[in-house]
Amino acid sequence: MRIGVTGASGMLGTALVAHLSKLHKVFATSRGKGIEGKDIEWDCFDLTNIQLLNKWLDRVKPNVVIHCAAIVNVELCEENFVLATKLHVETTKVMSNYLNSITGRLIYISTDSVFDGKKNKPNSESDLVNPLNVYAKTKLMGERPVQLMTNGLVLRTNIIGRTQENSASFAEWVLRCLIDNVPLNLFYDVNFSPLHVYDLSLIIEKIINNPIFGLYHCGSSDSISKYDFGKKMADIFQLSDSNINRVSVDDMKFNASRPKNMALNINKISTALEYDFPNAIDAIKLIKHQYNNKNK
Amino acid sequence: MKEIQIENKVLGIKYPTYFIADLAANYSKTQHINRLTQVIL
Repeated sequence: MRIGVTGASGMLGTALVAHLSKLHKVFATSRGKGIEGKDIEWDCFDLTNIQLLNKWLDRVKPNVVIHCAAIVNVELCEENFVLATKLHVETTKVMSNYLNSITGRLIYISTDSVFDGKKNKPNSESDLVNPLNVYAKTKLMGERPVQLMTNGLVLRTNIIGRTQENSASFAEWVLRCLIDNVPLNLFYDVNFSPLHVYDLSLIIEKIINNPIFGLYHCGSSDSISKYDFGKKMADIFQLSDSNINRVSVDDMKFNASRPKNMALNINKISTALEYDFPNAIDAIKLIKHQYNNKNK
Repeated sequence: MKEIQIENKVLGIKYPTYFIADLAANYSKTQHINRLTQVIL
């Protein structure tokens, strides 16, 4: 199969390209080149240049595109709504139109941030959304053209792993603070459902082989607080957790309320794929595994 | 906020990221985080 991956040098893109290129021809696009291989073909260009995007689609003629490209820098999104809209919404419209015309499939990677986190239970696909910042608002706007497609799939997720580019993930930051034994304040009242990028790659491969369409939540099978995540990381990496302080997001006196419950209910996708999803601790164990392999 | 080096990666003033609230809970007295919390949070 011919598979296009946008944002291919990012954290998820790298995992997807590495995994899917074992079985498929992968057409990777990003601002800069990522991992290379026999069945990986790179095209580095600015995705928001619609002319270049159309040219890439015309040349590649993908059976499936996995649209991972996003501006995860929330500050940049806040200050540049136009750019965030171009990348999260306009490029998605172009890809959905093109793939509809050739009966191709589009898998759009969305976010748990579309919720305001006020619900007491894990968020389901049918729950009302209420994005609190430009990043989340534009990602939500990008879901729309995909949901209008015949062959479109939106996956709302929260990923962890090791980053490739010059940025760091939440897990990497927590680990650095644990290694340096510097005080680390973590929220006990903010919950999320982290899924390791490797596990998400396996799930996406499963979806490529057994297509599902529409909107699905795709996270760990349970949820964990940021505080417990830090404690578990310390435990799994055999580091001291004495520097971790348990704090409430309510004590932060932010201008706007912060989402507390970002947990995702994954019953719909778990049933559709007949797949037992990993839990949050499995995701941390995979990070440990990545570090062990790198340090060998 | 002092920049944090993670292998070849850096977190800091020039490298804002997505877990701003988590950073703000740890570096709240810095000018950069104060500005971010005004703009975003």
